[in-house]
Amino acid sequence: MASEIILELKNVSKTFSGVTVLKNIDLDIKKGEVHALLGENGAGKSTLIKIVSGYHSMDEGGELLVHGKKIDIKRPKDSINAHISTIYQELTLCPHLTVAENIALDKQDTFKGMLQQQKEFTRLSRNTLNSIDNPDIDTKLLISDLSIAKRQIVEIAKAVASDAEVILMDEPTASISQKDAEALMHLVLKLKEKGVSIIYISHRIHEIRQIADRVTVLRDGNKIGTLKKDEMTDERIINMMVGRDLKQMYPKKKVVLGETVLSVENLTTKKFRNVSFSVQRGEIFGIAGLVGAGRTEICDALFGRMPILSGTIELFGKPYLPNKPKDCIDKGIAYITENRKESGLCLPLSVNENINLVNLREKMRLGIVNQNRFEELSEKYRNTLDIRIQSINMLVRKLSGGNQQKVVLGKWLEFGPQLILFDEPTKGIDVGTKAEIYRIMGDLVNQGVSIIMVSSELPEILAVTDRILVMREGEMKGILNTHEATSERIMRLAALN
Amino acid sequence: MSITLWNKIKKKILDLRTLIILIFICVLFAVLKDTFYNPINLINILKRSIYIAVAAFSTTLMLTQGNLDISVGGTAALVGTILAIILKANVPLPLAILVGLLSGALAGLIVGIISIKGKTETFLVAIAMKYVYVGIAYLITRGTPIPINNKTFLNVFGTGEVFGFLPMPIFILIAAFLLIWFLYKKTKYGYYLRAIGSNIEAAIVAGINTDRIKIITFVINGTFAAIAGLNLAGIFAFGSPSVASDLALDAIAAVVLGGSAVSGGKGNIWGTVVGVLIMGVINNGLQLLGAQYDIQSIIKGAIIVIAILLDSWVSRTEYAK
Repeated sequence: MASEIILELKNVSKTFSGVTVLKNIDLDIKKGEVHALLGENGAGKSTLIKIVSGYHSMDEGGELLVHGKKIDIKRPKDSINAHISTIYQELTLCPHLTVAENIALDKQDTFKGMLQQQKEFTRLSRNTLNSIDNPDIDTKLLISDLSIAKRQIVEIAKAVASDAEVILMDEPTASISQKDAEALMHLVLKLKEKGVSIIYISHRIHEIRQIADRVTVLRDGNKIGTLKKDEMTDERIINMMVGRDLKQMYPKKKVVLGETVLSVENLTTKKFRNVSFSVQRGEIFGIAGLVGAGRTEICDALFGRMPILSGTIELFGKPYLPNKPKDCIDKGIAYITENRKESGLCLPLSVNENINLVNLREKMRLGIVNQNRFEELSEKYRNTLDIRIQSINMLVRKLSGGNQQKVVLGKWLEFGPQLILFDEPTKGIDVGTKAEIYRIMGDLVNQGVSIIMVSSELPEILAVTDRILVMREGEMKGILNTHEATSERIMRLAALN
Repeated sequence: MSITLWNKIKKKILDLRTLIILIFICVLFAVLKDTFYNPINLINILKRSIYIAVAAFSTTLMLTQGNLDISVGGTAALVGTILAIILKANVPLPLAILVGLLSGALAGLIVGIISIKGKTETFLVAIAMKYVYVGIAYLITRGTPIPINNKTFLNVFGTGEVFGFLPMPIFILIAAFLLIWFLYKKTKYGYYLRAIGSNIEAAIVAGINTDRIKIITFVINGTFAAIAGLNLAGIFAFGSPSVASDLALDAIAAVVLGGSAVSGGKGNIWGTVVGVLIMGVINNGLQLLGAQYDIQSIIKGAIIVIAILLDSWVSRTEYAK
């Protein structure tokens, strides 16, 4: 099928404040093609999409061609005008507007005059929804009254209504059920029949094999290669996605494991079902899986941030019902969240003030802060964790990601936790500091602390942990002994049906 | 997910909660004091509510887009004094009114441009500009209220009556309501406004000039504050810098009582009418019962707190799907 190339990217790169996220990407999309983009978390897929949609601008030297003509995309509007429509991961619908009003939003230029043409909105949305086989959606309903799956359909209708020739879909099936995902893929094929080209991002390999004509794999911002339909085997795809062996970068000390510290039986919440595992003293227990698989939610549940529907937990041999974070802290659990800047640190405060934030009561006399004790502690963690700062009075905002993470660690270590929940411990941290974080984790387990570590980086989780629990779509897919595990095995459990 | 009949009924009750509250307090006052439902008293409630209603209408637009401009009290006072001073200089009435309205529009425009183009917090800009507007009002009056003698103006904007019982400014109220309703429901501006308040990212991605729409709302809000100022000047027959200091808060309270979403995107203009009436009825009823300003103020505050909690609860149940 030698069909016409609609959209072509040449030599596209993107750097965010010095960090290269995409390197010299070439990509072409043919008319009526479903072209899948695949890669691990952080491989650069979403960034690539956002460049095409005008949300980010590309670095100098890259080109974007539509129908063979070079065009400049500076704002989202430029992309819409070039008949490229984007369905972002976070839906861009207005919840308080009706279905019809949302579908007409990208096309408002065509409605002349000062007045809302509700009749036209309705007609346009009715026709569009009919044309994509969803005539049952009521165009007068507010978006906030629709299910997530229906909203997804409205997003697609919005793209179709704006006469898109290319539709970019960033993980459209990430937050909907299997059945709805099937319907959505059916819809994608329908659009393809109409000659619309689709760039489809998904983590689910089976989905991609089902609908994609070609798949391009990205890894660490590089294009690894493009496979045609008949070349797509699970083996090849997974190899291209993972394809690296950095085990030597992560030194793992041998720690003798002690008694069981935490045991979880059939834990169920709204976001995951029937999860069972146990963690021993001195163990680093990994939780792997794709974004949205329910990994963070396990930590949230253990820390009383998410209601538990059923299941039992034992902590240090006693029944444990996480209620609110304060209770969990009192029982010796620390939770270092993924969002360091939002829930880990007070950015405008100093290193000293941040480290001492937990456990303040013990450092006060009659309600007055004991400054000397404060500084003593801060200096202690500055030394043991090797926080590289000129003074403990430096503002946390000004530190690098790695140093910030160490401050968070210091803050929690200060009250001597027995179990640390560590969500994406090295997110946004440079390679050098990563190794230090692993060293600190190693020291901690050596002292008898246990760590549950959620990570999207397979090499990291394979090198640092003792065992790995793999989640997929809210379900536990198995627990692997790390010395027997490989990236391929984890990926298989995490992404394959 | 099927919506059962009970859910539908529950939704209707929640939608009409403000009206139910209004009816409830009306019945309550009628039982406590029989002079309450005397037609003269009811018209009195209406008459005293007009200036708040006008400001509340445009505040509904502001809340829909997700901003609040609390400088409007200053604007209303300023416009009243400007009108008084130029009427004193024998400027023809229509021109004087036009100048008044334009001053209000300009006051809104300034707050809008500083906060939107300057990418600052609207709330803080509005606090600052209120000081400026009140200050200018004191400056031009030198601190003493300026009497207004223009009979036509006092009739139309103040105490005039049609058929011997209907206050003249009620026509201004109706016109203001229709205008806001039209803007919100029928114009493209209203559509964009809801889109912006609902999900600004979506609006930007759709290529809407969000800054311009937002600033237009500030201008409308300033103009409506000017109308409220004219109404107050008409009632008092004075242009005074010290009137209307609570106007912005009263208007916001009415809008929130009326059920517009505090988080933006969903205005409820009819709800605002009901919200204004609730405030008017509470004030009036408590006065009839002999309560002083202090008690009125406390009860008014308590009712607004309840309304906000209700709003928060409703929006949580609505989106907890």
